[in-house]
Amino acid sequence: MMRTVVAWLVLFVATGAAAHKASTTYLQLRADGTELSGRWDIALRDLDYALGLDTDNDERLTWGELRQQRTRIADYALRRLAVLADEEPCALTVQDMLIADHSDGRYASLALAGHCPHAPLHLGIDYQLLFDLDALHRGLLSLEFHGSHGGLFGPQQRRLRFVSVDASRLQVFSQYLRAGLWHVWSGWDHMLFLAGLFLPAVLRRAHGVWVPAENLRRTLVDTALMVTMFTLAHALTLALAAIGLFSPPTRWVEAGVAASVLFAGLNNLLPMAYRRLSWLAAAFGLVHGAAIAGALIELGMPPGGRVWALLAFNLGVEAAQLAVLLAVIPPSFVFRRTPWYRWLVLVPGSLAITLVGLVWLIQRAWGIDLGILPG
Amino acid sequence: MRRCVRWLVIGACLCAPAAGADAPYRPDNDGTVLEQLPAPRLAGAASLRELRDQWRSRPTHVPAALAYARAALEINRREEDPRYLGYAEAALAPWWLLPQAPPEVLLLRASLRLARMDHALAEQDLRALIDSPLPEGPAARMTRAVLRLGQGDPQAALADCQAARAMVSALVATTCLAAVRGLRGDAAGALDALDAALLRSADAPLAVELWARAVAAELAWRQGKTVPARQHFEQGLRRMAAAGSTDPGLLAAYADFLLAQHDTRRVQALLTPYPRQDTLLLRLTLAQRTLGQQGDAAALTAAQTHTRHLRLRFQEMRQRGDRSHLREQAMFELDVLGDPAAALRSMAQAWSTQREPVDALLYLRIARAAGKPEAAAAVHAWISATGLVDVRLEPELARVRTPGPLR
Repeated sequence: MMRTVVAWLVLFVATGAAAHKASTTYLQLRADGTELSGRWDIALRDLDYALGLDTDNDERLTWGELRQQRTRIADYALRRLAVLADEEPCALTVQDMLIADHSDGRYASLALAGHCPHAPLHLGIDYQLLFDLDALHRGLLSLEFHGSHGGLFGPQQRRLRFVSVDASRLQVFSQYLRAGLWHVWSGWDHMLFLAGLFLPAVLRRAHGVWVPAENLRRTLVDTALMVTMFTLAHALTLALAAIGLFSPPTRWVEAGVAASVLFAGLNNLLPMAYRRLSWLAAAFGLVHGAAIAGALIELGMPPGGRVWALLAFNLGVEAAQLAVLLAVIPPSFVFRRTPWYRWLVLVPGSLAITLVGLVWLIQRAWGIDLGILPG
Repeated sequence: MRRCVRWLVIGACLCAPAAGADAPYRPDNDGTVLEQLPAPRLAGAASLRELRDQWRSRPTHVPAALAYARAALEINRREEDPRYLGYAEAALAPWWLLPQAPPEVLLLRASLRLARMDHALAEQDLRALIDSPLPEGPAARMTRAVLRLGQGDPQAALADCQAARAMVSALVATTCLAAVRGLRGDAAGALDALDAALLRSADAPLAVELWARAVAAELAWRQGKTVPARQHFEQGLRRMAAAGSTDPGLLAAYADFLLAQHDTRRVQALLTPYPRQDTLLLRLTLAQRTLGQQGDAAALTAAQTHTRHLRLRFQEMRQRGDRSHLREQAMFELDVLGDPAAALRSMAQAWSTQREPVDALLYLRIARAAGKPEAAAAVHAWISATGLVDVRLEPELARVRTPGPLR
């Protein structure tokens, strides 16, 4: 009698008293200025199912086994969590790993610390843990970011975004200015279109011969005018789209941007338009503005600060373009008469721009992935 | 000795109360066992992890995904552990949103969608399979029949039971028809037919016999015949134990029956081995509360611990948007928390997807406790539409009739 009861007791203890519930992690985060801190509790059972932590295969997970694999666990978790300050990634690290008791068993409790490039206006959290293994997995978020927020991550909701509601005008302005600068410097299509316009500014083909520009000041002013026309047009469609007055069909706008790049490259080789380039720049500016409206709407407009945000964004775009112009035009001007500028910079550069524009156009307009270029 | 075990359970629950509320700690010894890892294996099959690894190496290979998903679903049936449902769904991810998936995938997907209460999508999958000449055809019919029985639509269930009749075993066909007849007011005739079929089908597969026993017990109880009801439940339990299996649905139904008979000791003995399953833990808590009120201090403490645990669990289910335990949530809010207003909200939601006589009874009780008998008008409409006769509902219905007719 005694023996059977003891055997039953052992069996009972061995199966554990933890309750069955769907897989859930508990993510607590606190964003304070540029600093992040938090705690992320992930069920040991889930970590083991994903990583195979039970190294001696005895169906029991010990503290020793867990401690030795801390780096693996931390890497696995961090690769599946991203915190974004206005779309720029914040650095995140696991400072410590402890154990937390939950109603359905023990969890690894990861102490998180992080640093963002700037104090965010929009905080984005990307969560990708375990969805590939368990479609019913959920992440429960508890966030301190200008107040307390809750959130739920699921396979259909892998990103949550939070807006700082009490941001100052200056913060809004500086963030969108930065986003504008970033847009030019990181956006390939914007950069290529500008390059297409800048390359022939010091040397253009007319009536079958290359004609060098006469003076630097004139060249700079002409190019700056062109760039500004582009920005003004860009600002117009961007504002209309951001306010919600129209929503351009993404595919055709993207194809239009590709066509503008193609045209800018081709126009240097076989000039189709060499006068009134500013008006041409403005026409293409309208298309580019529509294209990035989507991205800016995605970033979100701050409540009550739309005008500031749009102004700042466009000023950022303009400043970045002028900076590129100032960096490129003067050296080109100096070397404009040398044959190598013509045959090693202008012609190959324009050819490259033309080709990239063509590939983009085919990919975007017909949805054919040529596998050569992204986007 | 038994009491020791119970204290052990209480101890284990006490140290794990809140969802992430308690402070994390560092174990002082490398040898400390932190978690018992389940290593489920189906009789005669590879372990779940082996099947998982085979699937992961070829994630779009239908047979590998199916083998893993089926094993996970089968283990969930035994354990009622939603993680296994999540594994199965992940295995079907490449086909999860495809309108046209292979038939085996469609059938599994329908089961998984039923489990997460996506009834409309599950119906779509079943409809696509129902006329198939493959074995999935009759299986889909039976699944839809069971779904419609659960939704309280015996008329629609009847069509599926009859259409599948020639292609399923006699016991399956009789159980299906008996469940339909029972809902339409002929529990006595249905039970006779089912008893006869059970006598002729001594070697029925486990799952089929347990379903038949549960239906038979319910039919008997509905007529107030508690002795045959108890016999059917007990026979089902014996078959379950002999197979070394667990059927949480049968256990929950039996516990409800025993609670109605005020046999709380039996409920406690029956359910104490299953503290991990919330549906069963809820019934255990109800029994232990009653025992506690009768002076059993240990039962009272256990009930309090379980109550804290269940409260957190239901709260988390709400946060997760999980609708699979709304009936239990309503029971918990009414009978444990004593919050009929909350229970009424949960029950109204539950009633939109499941309408069994036990739901009707619960809804009527909740509406009365909330002082809003008119809130259960849907139940009255359902009873008159189906023609259900159920002695358990009589006292509740009589209470409503006395002050003035509702209909």
